[in-house]
Amino acid sequence: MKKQLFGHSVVPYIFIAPQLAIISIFFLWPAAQSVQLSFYLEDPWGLGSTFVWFDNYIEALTSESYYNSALFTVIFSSFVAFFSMAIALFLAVKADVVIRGQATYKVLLIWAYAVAPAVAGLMAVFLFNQHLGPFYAFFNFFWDYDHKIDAFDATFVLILVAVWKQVSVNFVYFLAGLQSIPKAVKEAAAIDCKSDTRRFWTIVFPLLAPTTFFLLIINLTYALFETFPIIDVLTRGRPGGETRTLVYKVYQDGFLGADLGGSSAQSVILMIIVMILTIIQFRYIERKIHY
Amino acid sequence: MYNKHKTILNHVILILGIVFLMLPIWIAFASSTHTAEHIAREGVQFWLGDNFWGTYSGLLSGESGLFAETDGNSDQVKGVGAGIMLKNSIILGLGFAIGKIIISMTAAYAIVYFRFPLGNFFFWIIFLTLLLPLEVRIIPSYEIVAQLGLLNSYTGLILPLIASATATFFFRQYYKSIPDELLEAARLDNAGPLRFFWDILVPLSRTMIAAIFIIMFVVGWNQYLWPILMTTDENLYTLLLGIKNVVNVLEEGKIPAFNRAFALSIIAMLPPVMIVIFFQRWFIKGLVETEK
Amino acid sequence: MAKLELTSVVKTYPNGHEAAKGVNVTIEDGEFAVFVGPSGCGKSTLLRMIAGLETVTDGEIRLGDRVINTLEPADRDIAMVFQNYALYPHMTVRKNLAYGLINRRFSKEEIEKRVQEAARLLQLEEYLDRRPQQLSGGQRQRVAMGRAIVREPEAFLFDEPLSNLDAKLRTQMRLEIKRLQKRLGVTAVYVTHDQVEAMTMADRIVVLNHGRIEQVGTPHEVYHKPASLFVASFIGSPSMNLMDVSVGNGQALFGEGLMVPLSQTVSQSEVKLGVRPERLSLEAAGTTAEGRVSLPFSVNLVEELGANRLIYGQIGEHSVTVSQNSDLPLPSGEAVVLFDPADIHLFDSQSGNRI
Repeated sequence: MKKQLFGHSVVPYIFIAPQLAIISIFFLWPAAQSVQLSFYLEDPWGLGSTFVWFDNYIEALTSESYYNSALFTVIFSSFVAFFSMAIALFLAVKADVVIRGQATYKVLLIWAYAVAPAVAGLMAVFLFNQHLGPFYAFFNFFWDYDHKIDAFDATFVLILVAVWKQVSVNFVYFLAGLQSIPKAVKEAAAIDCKSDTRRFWTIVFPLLAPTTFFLLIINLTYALFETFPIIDVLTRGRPGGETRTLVYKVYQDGFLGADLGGSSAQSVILMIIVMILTIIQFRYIERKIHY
Repeated sequence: MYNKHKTILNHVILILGIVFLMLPIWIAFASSTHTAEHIAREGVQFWLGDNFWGTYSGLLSGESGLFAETDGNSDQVKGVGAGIMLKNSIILGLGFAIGKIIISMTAAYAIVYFRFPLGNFFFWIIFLTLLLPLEVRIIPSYEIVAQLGLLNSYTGLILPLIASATATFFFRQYYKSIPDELLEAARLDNAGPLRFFWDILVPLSRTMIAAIFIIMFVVGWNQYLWPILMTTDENLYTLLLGIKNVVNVLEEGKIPAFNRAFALSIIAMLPPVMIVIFFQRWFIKGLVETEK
Repeated sequence: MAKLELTSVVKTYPNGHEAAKGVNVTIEDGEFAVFVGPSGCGKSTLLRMIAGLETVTDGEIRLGDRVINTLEPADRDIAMVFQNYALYPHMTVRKNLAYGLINRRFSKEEIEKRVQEAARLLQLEEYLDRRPQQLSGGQRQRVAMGRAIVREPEAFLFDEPLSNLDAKLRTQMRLEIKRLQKRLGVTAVYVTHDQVEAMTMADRIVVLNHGRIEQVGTPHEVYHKPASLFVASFIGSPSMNLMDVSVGNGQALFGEGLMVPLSQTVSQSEVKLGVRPERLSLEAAGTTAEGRVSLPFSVNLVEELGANRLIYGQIGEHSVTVSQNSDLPLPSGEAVVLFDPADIHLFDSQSGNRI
């Protein structure tokens, strides 16, 4: 809280009203509806709905398709987070060290942030197309590649595209983090340690921990939600629903499958997951790893 | 410093990184400058062709559809031109960014500079919105927008999207960092809350506003699911919706006009990328500041 | 032998700035050399070139029997104490001290032995398991030194290590550093902008200005026989009085008929004449003394500093400062300054060099 505050005034109410209004109408109400729907089962003819307590939740959590989707989400998120962060870190370390051209490299590596996931997905569709795409031929050279029928290949492409898009953001943060380490500490390390790989793992990487942790949360959130368009464009969950993240499943079950109850229950579960992630992030920022 | 080999290796790695990012874009652009038939025959292209104007003017005007020409076949659907989609994307991006900035700046101001009953409660409500991304509340949101008669309208397109607290938190953080002395001096100068906000806080926040604007414009422009769901009127299609249409074409087993599909991708990504590149300092500032 | 030799060392930055313009100096084994000069004189650049943190544009740096300018910093067998200590924030004091040795594959026993000894020397034994942010400025500084000591290098490099400490701690640490260096007998190069620090700590002082060496000498030499105007005014506080005088008939002419005989022959007709404030004594008009010359002095302002007194005044048109013990009486009425002609320093007005 600021020490100096304005006294009684009608201003705060007016100022906070627009956001509250929009939030109430377009967030709270739908969120409440979601929660409400999750406790009902729609009659197959759409004539009414029955209150079923937590049936939808139990069904969701115990169904094999949910389990598969959850498993895929975990694998997908881990790989996307790991690779996009690792590649970005690698590039950021190099960019931090080069004396000439740092500004140019920086510009040429950050722009992919602005590319919509859907656009990236569409380009991948063509580039991996059986007849047109050079990458299809390229990967086929190594193994029997076909992302339309093989779940592994489909997952592979999705991860590749998701990572491609996310490298830029991680690069920006890692570079900023690297440049915030005091120069003198790096110089002292140069005197104490000849090998720059060793210097990196013993000095630089530990000091990057706050940034790394922050990015981990950002990347997990990205993989969980913002990759929706990539999946929608590239695989739509195929083959056989094996490449669906949890959020994609919510969409498919709700919109295409018309299972409002089940889909809402899944939404609420997702909401709880996000809540946990957000709490971890805020807690962490309060007790920041502070040197 | 003393190892030339290491330095060269560093540059090579960075260049490889750039190639990794740029290769798909380059291929997309190069392919877009050819004709659809050429691509259908020879696959995607690495070199520039001579159909740049043909592809882009056709796409922008809506003269050529997203489907391959099939000799006057009635399968040929001439959709709305990419030019109109471009306009809608701009409106969405601008509307989203501006809307978000206005409501977050004001809400953050109320939260930080005032102590009023229910103030804390409102703060927590706003905080709550961080917990549920749109994808998860999408169906009820659709119902509500439909009920309000806002389907197929710019309002309905933009408003539900700005219902999240990200920018509010950012401005809150920023306001908290502004020294109290400023407010004290303003009060001595007889500035009331509105004056202080308009004459002092807003100008002070200029760079922050710019930074958030850039990020939000990109986010708004790149919106995918929501426009797809609530827009059926062609004249309201955004570029990202156009992308979805290409995908639909593929799903139906039809052959899209590859060159125009690529061109659409290029047009869909160009403005946000240009903005990020030209305003990179603000963009980076915006990203890094939100870390705190 | 850990002799440090800089031969024609040049540093030019890509933007054209010449930080070092051909520096030649030899620092003997075990010597405590202080590089001193104003900001931008190149002293830190030179130190960093010795350390390997800056590249050498031209010239050679030798340490012992090796040419080191193309070696990585970790290979040069030097240790450095940074101005802001540059301790590793995520490591304990013990680990900070041991880090350089761990990387050089010393045995656990040897590392432990050295760490304990350095901790003992620097009174850090209690703090070995603390982190840097739990230490005070002075303690951190000692850890920075400890990090250098455990390495047992051929040369210590100090980059203004005391600038961030308060005045009292600074004087204390000055002594400690000098004592430590003498005890360990390691060649040391110490960079500072504070000439008092330079004078009290150095075996020899290297005075730098705009990338060039103005003078290399012991504190005594540099104080009593400054080689240039720059050295004369930089060393000594309050700084030397410098006056433009003309020369005729073996006399220095101060204007208004005031003159003083010169003990050396001078070919120039105009020179800069310098006398240190503490070599002038202020007496009542009419006072004379054997072997001393006298010039009329009008008092403008008196500053009492406790043990000392500074008197600002004029000899003719020249502004002159006198420094005297505050026990001495202040003359009232007309005054003169008395001084020994041998205390006169003459400098060429053009080049600034000592005549």
